[in-house]
Order: sequence, then C-alpha cells, then structure tokens
Amino acid sequence: MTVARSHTERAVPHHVGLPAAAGTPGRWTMDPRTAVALLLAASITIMAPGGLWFVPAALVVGVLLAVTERAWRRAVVIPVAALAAAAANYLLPLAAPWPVLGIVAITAGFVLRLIAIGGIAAHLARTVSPTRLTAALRAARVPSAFTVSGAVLLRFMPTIIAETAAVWDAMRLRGLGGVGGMLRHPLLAIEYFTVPLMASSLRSAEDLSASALLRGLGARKRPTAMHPPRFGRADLAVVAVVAVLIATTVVWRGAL
Amino acid sequence: MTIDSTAQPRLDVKMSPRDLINIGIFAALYLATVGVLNALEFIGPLATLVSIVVSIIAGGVPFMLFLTRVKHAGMVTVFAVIVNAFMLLIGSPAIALVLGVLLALVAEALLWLGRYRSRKLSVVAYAVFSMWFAGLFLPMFYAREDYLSGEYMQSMGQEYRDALDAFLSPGVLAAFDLSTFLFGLIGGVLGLRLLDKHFRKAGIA
Repeated sequence: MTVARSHTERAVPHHVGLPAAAGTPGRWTMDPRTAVALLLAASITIMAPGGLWFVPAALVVGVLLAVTERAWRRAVVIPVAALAAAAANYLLPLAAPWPVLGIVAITAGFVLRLIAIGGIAAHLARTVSPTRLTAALRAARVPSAFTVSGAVLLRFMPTIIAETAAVWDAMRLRGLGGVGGMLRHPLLAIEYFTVPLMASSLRSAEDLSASALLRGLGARKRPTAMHPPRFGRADLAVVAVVAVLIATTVVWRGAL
Repeated sequence: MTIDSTAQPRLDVKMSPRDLINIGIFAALYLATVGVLNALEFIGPLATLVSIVVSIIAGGVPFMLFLTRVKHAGMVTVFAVIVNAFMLLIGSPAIALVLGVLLALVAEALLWLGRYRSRKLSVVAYAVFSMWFAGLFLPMFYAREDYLSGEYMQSMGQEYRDALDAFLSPGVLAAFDLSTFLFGLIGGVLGLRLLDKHFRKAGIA
C-alpha cells in the first residue's frame, strides 16, 4: 500500500502541495458522475460515424477543464497536438499522392480523435481519486463486482506503470529492449518483459489487497462516503457549456 | 491442469472480495502489458498491425496467470467488462465493448466446459477473449465513408482512392480480425509455457 501511494503521488506532482485538490472536492469540483458521463458521451460520439465534427467541441471542453484545474501545460499541449494531427490528416495527402501518406493521414485522423477524448480523460484521471470514483459509481447503482474490481484496477495502475518503466530500463541496460530487440526476438522479448513485470507487480499487489481487505473493501455492508457525491453548480456549469458547444457544432455543420 | 495448484474451482458466481481484488489487479496487469506494447503503434501505420499482434501474444501471459486465480464462474466476464470499459473510457468505439462482453461470455462458457481446469480449453478461451481487438477496427466496416471520402481523399484522384479502398478491403480487414484468434492461440500457449517455466517454480501460479 505504501509503495502504491508514493507512486501515485509521484504521478501527480502538482497535487503533492495541495492534497485537498485530489481528496476533498471543493465547491467548484465536478461530481465524478458528471465527469464519467461527459467522458463516455465524448468517447461514444467522437468514435461514431461523423464524430470528427464533434472534435473541436471536445477540444474546447478539454482545454477549459485543464484551465479550471490550472494545468497550464495541458491547456497548451491539447490544441497544439490536435493542430499537428489535423495538419497531418488534411495537408499530408495534398503534398504528394503516395498511398503511404494516405495511410499516415488516416492514422492522424484517428490520433486527432484520441487527443480530443484524451484531454477529457486526463482531467478525470488527475482530479478524481479512485475513492471518489467508487463512491460515485456506487451512488449510480453500478454492481459492486464492477466497482470494487474497477477501483482496484485504477488504484493499481500507477504502481504497474512504475514497475513497467523499471523493467523497460533494466532491459535497455542489458541491450534487450527497444524496437530492434522486439523485432529480432519477439517471443523472447515478451518473456523478458512480462515475467519480471508480473513477479514484481504481484508482490506489491499482496500488500495492496491485504490493506484493502483490512479497510473493509467489498464488505457486505454498504459503505458510506466521507464526501458523498452531490451534484452542484459546477455540474450545472459543465452541462451548460457542453449544451452550447453541441448546439454550435450542429449549427456549424448545418451551415456547411 | 492450469488450475492444479489451487483447490477445485467452485462453479457458482459468489465472488469474495479477494476475488474482486484479483480481477482488478490482473486487469491492470493485462492493460499495462497490452498498452505498453501498443505504444509502438505511434511509429507508423504498419507498426500498428505489428504492435497489435505483439500485444495479443503478450497479453496471454497475465491472462493465463489470472486463470490460476479464478475460483468462481463469472470472474472472466467481470475481467472483460472492466478491461473493455477502461478501453471505452480512453476512446475505443462503443461497439467494441459489446463485442468484448459477448466474446467474454463465450470464453467463460468454454472454461466452464473444461471445469476451469482444461489447459486446451483455456488456450482457446484466451484466443476467443482476445478477439475483442477486432472491435477496434469495426468502424472501418460501418463508417468506411468517414475514412475514405474526406475532402483530402477527394483531392487525391480516383485511382489513388481505389488503391487505398482495395488495400483496406473488407476481405483484408475480416482476415485481420479473424487472425486475432490465431495470435490469441499463440499467446495462450506462450502464457502456459511461461507459467510452467517461471511462475509455478516461483510459487505465484
């Protein structure tokens, strides 16, 4: 548990100074249910046929969320990356009529959609702690089999990512890593990568599950939340902004 | 045989908190394994296909290790639901979730037929489960126009569009989708081999 905690905090550097931002929701924090609904709506619309039209709206939402969170770097990275992907998508095929460029352009169109969704997903990942997310999902009547295992999944992810980086570094040190090694001996590379990852992750998993069980995860009794999820004015503001953006997109699409 | 180190699995669906924690941990391990190797896809379009093949094969290792911890029916289905829900949140098409859950039910049925102990059926079950990767490409069938008829494609001339259309023909895509099953079989066998070679010896299988 202690191991996992330190990794989480390392992954969220700008929260170390203000633990309140991740733990206790302020008056202007979105309810996690709104955040999840927003992300699902964005993901489903953008990946559906014709979803490219909604990419600008999702990008605006992503940048606004980054600004409210004071994540200035993300507020700049999202539009820049999106512009680069859009440029590759629309301008590259005009440069020369090679099929390879066409495929790169299609991939860029896909990446553009992913950036639009990723902006909103990054906000969710940075601001909603697994505890609040579980409380919100419980309030939304999601069966406990999914909330408990899903919470463990989210809680454990940072630990595994740190372990992955360590294993990857160790492989590179021995000259086994990198794309070259992967292509020369794919099965061996998979073995060298997965076996240490599983072994070390499962060791910290033991601690995590012991600690979670002691604190009553999955107990028969319905747990109460320290900060029960409530819809507030932040949710109203988000709904209003999203409604305006959707209306703008529909009008813009009709005008073209 | 896969499960021989643990007690006979019970065939009911009463999962204990420890089972749910195990599902979460192995789902995270599976996603990390698949996700890291999938990051190779940003090298280029051909690498996308290669990275998916590598991911499917590598994913067999955490999945097979997960099966040794399965003690109740339904655990594989819950595993698939949270893996696919996570994928949906980070931008896979909604239809992939539907496909993933259906495939997981089939995989669960196969495992149940082998009473969660058959090695052969567990390999086949992994292969069925990993066909959810095909869901990521399903939009190429029902939303082809989106991909192939944008303004940039119009400017490329008919000949070029036909070439691309032919290259990404439904036949090629279907063959790729079905090949996920084949790579799933390889991944399942690799997972079992590593289970015997390393994890059982280390006492974590």
